[in-house]
Amino acid sequence: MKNIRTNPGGQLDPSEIVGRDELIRRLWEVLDGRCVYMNDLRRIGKTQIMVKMKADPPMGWICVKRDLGRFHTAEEFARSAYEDSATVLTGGKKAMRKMSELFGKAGGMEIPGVIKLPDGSVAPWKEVLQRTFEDVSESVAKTNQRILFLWDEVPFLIDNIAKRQGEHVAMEVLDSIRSFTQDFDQIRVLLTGSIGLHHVLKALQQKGYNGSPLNRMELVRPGPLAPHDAIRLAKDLLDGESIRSENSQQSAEFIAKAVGNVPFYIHKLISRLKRSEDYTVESIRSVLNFELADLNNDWDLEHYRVRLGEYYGDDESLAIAILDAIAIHTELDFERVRSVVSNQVTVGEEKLRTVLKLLCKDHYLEHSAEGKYAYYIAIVARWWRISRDLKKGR
Amino acid sequence: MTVIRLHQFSPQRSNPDDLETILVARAALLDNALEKIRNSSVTKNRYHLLFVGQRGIGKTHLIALINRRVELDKKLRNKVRIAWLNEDETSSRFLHLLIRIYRSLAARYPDEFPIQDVQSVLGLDASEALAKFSNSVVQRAKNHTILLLIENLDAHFAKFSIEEQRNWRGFVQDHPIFTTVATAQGLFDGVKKHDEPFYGFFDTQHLQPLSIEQTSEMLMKIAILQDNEPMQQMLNTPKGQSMLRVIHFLAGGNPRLYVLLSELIADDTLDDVIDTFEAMVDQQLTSYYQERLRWLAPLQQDIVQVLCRFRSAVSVKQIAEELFTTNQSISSQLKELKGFGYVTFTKVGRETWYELAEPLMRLVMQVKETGSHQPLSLLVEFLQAWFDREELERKMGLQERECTSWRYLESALSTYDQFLKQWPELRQPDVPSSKLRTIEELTEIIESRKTTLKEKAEALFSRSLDFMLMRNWHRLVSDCTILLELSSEDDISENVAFSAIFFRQLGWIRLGEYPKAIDDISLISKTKREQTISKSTIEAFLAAMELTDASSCEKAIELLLERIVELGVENELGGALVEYLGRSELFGKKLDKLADWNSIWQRLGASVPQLIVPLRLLDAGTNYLITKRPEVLLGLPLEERKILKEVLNISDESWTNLDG
Repeated sequence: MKNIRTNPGGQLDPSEIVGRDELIRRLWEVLDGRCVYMNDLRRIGKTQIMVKMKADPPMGWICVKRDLGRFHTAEEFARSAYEDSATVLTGGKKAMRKMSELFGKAGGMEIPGVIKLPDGSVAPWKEVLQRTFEDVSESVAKTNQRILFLWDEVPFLIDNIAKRQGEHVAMEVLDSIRSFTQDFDQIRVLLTGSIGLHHVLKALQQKGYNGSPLNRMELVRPGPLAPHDAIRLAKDLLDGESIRSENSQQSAEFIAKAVGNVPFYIHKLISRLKRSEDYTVESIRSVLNFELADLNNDWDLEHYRVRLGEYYGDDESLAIAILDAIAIHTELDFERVRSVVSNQVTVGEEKLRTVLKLLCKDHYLEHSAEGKYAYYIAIVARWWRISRDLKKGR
Repeated sequence: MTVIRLHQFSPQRSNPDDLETILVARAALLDNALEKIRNSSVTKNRYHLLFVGQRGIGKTHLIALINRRVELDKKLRNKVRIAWLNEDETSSRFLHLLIRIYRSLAARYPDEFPIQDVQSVLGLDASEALAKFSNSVVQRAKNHTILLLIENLDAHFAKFSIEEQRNWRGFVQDHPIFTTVATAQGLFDGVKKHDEPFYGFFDTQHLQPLSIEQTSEMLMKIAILQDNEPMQQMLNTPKGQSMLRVIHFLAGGNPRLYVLLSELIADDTLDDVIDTFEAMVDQQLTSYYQERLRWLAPLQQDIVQVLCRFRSAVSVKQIAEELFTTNQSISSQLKELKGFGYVTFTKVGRETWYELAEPLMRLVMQVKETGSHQPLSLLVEFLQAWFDREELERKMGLQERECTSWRYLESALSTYDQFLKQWPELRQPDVPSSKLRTIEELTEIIESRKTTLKEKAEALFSRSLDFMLMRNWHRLVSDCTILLELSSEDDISENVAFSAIFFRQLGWIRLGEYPKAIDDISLISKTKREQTISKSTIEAFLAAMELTDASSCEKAIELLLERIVELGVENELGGALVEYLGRSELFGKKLDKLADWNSIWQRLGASVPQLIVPLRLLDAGTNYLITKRPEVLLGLPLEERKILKEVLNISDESWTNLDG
């Protein structure tokens, strides 16, 4: 690997997005048959995966990537789908026959932001989407290709539309995405976003929405990097940043493990090390602990504590007791969780199982095939211990 | 002297070459930013750097130098287009921001970014204009990386709704043409909160205040740049260094402050540090702090004013009560103020105590409020004397140990320490310390003609210790006097001589001969050609005095005070009193004795103005050693507490673990 520099949160050159090859290969396999909804913790690297997929698609695939968070109406969204399609199709807008018909021979107007019809009215967004997808499907079929729309920040889009045009329009957009992606075999979408779509859906459901826009999509959770990839990234960054360390391999191993193999945190931690100093594993640990303990840090792991009240309501103290127990003991099976937690709170077995399941769903914990519960991301466990003055047990 | 104007509040208006010349402490940060900008010009990496630090810490200076270095680098200049936004303007919509970026590019590269593009979207529907103008910017950028230099990012975010932030982020993600270098006073929710669109987006780097050495280096660079001989000379004088230390101790290392004060530091019409300080307060510091306050939100300003009024650390509850608001709203504002570098806190048990991070801000505001310089002047005077020792150490390095008073103190302490170690087995007055030789044997050696000078001195020294244990004070004084007479001979170890003075002082005090005991202080100074009585000498005398009973001690203190005032070395006594607290472990001081010691000093020293600060420290230190309650120290202002923590060797770590 060439010399790479830390870039926490920035945009990476596709060649510097490491450790995702296997996942991307699997994603393309899935996309062969169905669309994908990619969901995981924020900053796990979902956007970077899309960037890498777009940079190097397999033979026969065309990719379009768009951050939908900056669109606030269904019309803007439909227009972006049209514009983006036109940029990648052979023949451009000319290849989009049905859309041309919509504009009419008198010439509708392609005004940036929305599409207007000859009579000056804004083109119905659903029709724009329908015709765009038909045109795209027809065009790529001719060249025996398929197209993948990599749509980032879908939850922001839905939230924006709900605020600007009302929840009903947001619901219609969701249903349209589901419907169009089922109707055209040459078209696939891969949806993701900084926040889980289920948060937006929950809000819409409270307003009467009963659709299931994701139910025919494959749910993919990319997760952190594999340990060996995370170590390689840490090593390359230590070298690239010319950070001196007693044993760079050991330092890289420590960094990768301590931050739970999440590339963003690897970049971030190494960006806090100084070239002027000589590091050991111990001193890197001190830097990390200092960062996490600082009340004014920008890692915001506090978020994992704060949101418990909102997510778990009356079960908040039980969730905290479980997280305390697993932070201390690293991993526990159900019986041990029950035994440790019951010293602090009275809880029935079923309630405990339910809250454990929810903690896994919300990416706090993971449940291994051996039946052990552990923190999903090691850095959250570390922060939890620091913030709650817990000592790691044996 | 060359007239070179350094714009303290707008570094971007200074000559960039001058800014480069006076740069200190940020070279690595600057090089790193440049490397990343260079990397973004040849790869698809796009970096978004955020420099965080309080006002005046050097953020604009850094931005100005990034701009300069990119301009000077031919390769980089060809690949990068710079948009440096005016720091005083903010926007409430992403479209406005994008237009400002474009205008900045158009002003610098009019052929590549024709201003007509802006005209073409004016009057359009906002969403239409944004879509159209976004395309324009991307097309006009061609293959260039646009380096966006944007200051006060926190002020922009404060005006941007979440939707506008999503617009911005979406644009940057869809069109990776920007590398950003931004600045902010502190970390703010828009970049640090998990649910915000820009969470984790910026690579944040905190600009640390300058150390005392870096401050001195910067001032020297300014002096050389301005060809300012008096300033260069002043910085090399004890007065200059002493003043710098005091300012740094009270105000921290904000570079703007030192640029601001650089002219006064070199003003030789001001007689001493106190005069200079008073001039600084009157002429510049008040407006400097008021300017900093203006940038805060109204409630934050109120909090700072409350903290200015209190001389001690304050709890959230106290502040909330003062401002008639809730603990919660005060807590969140304090957190921001901490991020901006205005406040610092101490956690004791479950309670958190806040105070101003720069005590000088409080002191200056107090001067403004009361119209009196006296409390500040007394503190400055005390600190100046306090730092004299450090200054000496810094300048002399290891040679400092050659200093007479230091050697005297060390020698007295080590002799006394040895004496204490033997004490348990020798506490019976009739038992001589020299187990191998009786007093008679020692006397024989002393009187023998065959004995060398060195052997005689050693025997006298052993015998004097025996007399001390036997409480035979007359014989102790007599032996020490003979020893001191012999000390002019080269063969006699200096340590033996110093110990003789120490024990003779003890003897004089025990015999009620206080003036003679005090004369021995001067003896050290006179014989070793020191200009004045130093803190270490007084400290050793205090050690001798402390061995006596309370009533003798009181009389000795009375006389000592008289002599100290006569000699004008009140600050040295003050320093010694505080420093001496830190030796309490070595001396095995009993806590009840410590309390007596403190109360005598409080009573007798109250009339000496220069002892106000040290007596406050002695009182708090004594109470702390007796009660071990951190709240005792939290009742002191930060600057005084820092001194006491250093003296009592209380580390920050042990401090935060203390349970109140």
